[in-house]
Amino acid sequence: MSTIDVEGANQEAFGRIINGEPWVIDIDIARRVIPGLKNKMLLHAGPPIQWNRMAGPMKGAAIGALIFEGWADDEADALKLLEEGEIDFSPNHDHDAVGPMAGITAPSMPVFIIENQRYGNRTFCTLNEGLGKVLRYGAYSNEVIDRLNWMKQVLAPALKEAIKLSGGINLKEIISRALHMGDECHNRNFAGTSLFLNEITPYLLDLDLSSKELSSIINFIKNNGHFFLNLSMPAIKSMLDPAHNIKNSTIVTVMSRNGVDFGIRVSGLGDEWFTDAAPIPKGLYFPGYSEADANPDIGDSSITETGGIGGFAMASAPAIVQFVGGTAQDAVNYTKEMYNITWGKHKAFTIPYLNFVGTPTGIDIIKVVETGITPVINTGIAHKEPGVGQVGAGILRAPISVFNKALRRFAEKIGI
Amino acid sequence: MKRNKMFKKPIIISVGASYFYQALRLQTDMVVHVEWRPPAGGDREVIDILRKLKEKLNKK
Repeated sequence: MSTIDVEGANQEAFGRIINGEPWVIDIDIARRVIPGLKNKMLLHAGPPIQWNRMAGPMKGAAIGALIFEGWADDEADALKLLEEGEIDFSPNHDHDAVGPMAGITAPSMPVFIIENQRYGNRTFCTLNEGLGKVLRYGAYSNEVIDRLNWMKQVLAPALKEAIKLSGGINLKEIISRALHMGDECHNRNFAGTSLFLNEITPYLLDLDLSSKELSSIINFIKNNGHFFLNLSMPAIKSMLDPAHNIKNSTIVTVMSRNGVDFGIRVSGLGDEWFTDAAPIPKGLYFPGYSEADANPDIGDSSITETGGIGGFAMASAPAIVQFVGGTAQDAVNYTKEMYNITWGKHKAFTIPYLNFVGTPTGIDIIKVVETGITPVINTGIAHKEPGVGQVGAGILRAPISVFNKALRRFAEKIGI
Repeated sequence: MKRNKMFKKPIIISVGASYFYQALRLQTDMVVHVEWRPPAGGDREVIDILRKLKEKLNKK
């Protein structure tokens, strides 16, 4: 008789994912709240990687972070410290955090604190800087550092007070509503950003801010359609984390990329990463750039697809194809295809165009290997050289090899 | 659609790589595409592991 109840374990994992209740409850400085984040340490996107193997955009973001922290005066100074091994690197995912693109989280950066009020776990993410020349895409010019300082000194303290006054904001509700308004909450966050701004503005108005400060905060959020990404990502991570470490579960709880490697973690396989080379996305490029400029896929943002939104919910966001390429029908097809490799349909995240069916949720490595269908991810594209920034956006497939590796380990674990 | 009507004209069924379908689609409407990829990306060892795994899980 077999005692290996994969079905029961996966049902448990799936239930924990869809029943999570993520709320943004606070903002604080990363070193005060992120477990294990030490001085002279930077957290990064994706599976573990050290300076000598890092991709250009992550190197650029690390240089910028050293300047922002005041550990280095300029690029040359930062490079010296990095090449001498003076800075420790660790994946965001090992510290209950996520970060888009390079995903660099430095100790002095303000971070959103998300609490899954059903299971009590917390996750963390920096605040979104906008598009173009920004740290997360590897840019580190003065304008990038100045913006980060403004975010730390003006934006974050005001949002912290406003969030406190609000008593916390329900992110599951915002994601559910945003999916009905044309977002998929990975690369299209216009509705989510607007809904967040609707929620927070009354509390911002109650603060003792000058009209200049208030205007700069509201306009910064209003003009950054990706602002909500740094809330949707930790919200989804907070829903996935309680589904990790369930014995015999073959559900994927992390998909992430560091610009060199693509990695996954599986609920029943502990904290081991299963990795292979990160693919280069197919997409649309900004004028003057092409695929030859693109860095391989990078960022923790594929946590959205892992939790049943992003590329998996593209049928909710047909307009996203104007940003990532393809046709509106492609967007619908991607979602439909993902039902073949997922455990179930989300209860709270639904798609109007498909008669309000739940989004495909809970990637099962057995189903991926059996069908040969791999998760679809939509993503921003960073320039491969440090210091340049974003050059486009596109679509890619997770490599089948990482699911094959995970399945081999699972089989070993149960004695095959 | 009735079977005799369905097969009145030849229908091309393209399986797997979508660029075959796209090339055929430029020439005729009578082509349908079936998404298919080999299990485990064609890795025979993993396909064998998958078979054993499913056998083990189905023994209850």
